[in-house]
Amino acid sequence: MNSLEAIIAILALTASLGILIETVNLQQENFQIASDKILAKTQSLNCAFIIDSIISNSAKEYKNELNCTANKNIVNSKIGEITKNSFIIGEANSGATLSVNTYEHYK
Amino acid sequence: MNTINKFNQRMKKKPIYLNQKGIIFSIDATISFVIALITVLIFVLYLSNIILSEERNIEQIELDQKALFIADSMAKNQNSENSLLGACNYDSDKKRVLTNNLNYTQIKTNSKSLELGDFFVKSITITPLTTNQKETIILSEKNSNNCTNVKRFALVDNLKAIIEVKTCKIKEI
Repeated sequence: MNSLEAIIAILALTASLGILIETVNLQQENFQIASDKILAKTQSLNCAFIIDSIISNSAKEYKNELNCTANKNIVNSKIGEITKNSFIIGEANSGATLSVNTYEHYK
Repeated sequence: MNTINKFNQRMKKKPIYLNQKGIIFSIDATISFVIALITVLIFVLYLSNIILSEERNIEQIELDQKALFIADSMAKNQNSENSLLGACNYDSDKKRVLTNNLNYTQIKTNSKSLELGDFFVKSITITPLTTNQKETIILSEKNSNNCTNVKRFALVDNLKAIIEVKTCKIKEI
């Protein structure tokens, strides 16, 4: 009788431990996804900041690299499988180089 | 005395099928498991709360950023399609746009609301410093309880004034 109860108790403990480990793993995956989402959004926001400041200041060019793609008034950023976007106040397109529609100051 | 003896005999006769130590061990294990699960649950709730507040912060930053750059663009550019993105006067002699020198008529007649995803521009308020009389130009009739205002100093028809751009988020945060 003693050994049967011990076996049941060990089984219960092992099952509990298994569930716990699985839960932690699942949460870790979810946390990674959430972290990627935040990172992608922050990155797209960062690009939107730069492009908006180019528009508002009518800057001539921007040479540094951008970790996002711009299409009309949407800026997309991708981290892993997750893509997030931000909007810009004007229009821009990123091909080989970033082209932003700015307003002429000298006409 | 007789009753006590009968009770003792009855207690002795009662069969014990399960070992008491084993039961206690199993109950302990179950309780510790439940406690561990609750701890994990609290930890998960804490993490999801952090993520949620981070998302809210980012949305608020985005809202502030939009208001800031729209006000900046209005005070630095000239846009014939929408004066919200550029309402500066044009100096035809120098052939250049006069930054920080806004045209009141253009703002009043040619400003249209801008919708960027979840964000929209609600209004522009102009407060001349000499009269201190606020004039609000409503650009959108939509209502929202999550708005932000950005104030900027500029010249409006050569008078010192504070222009205020109000942007709102359609969805509630």
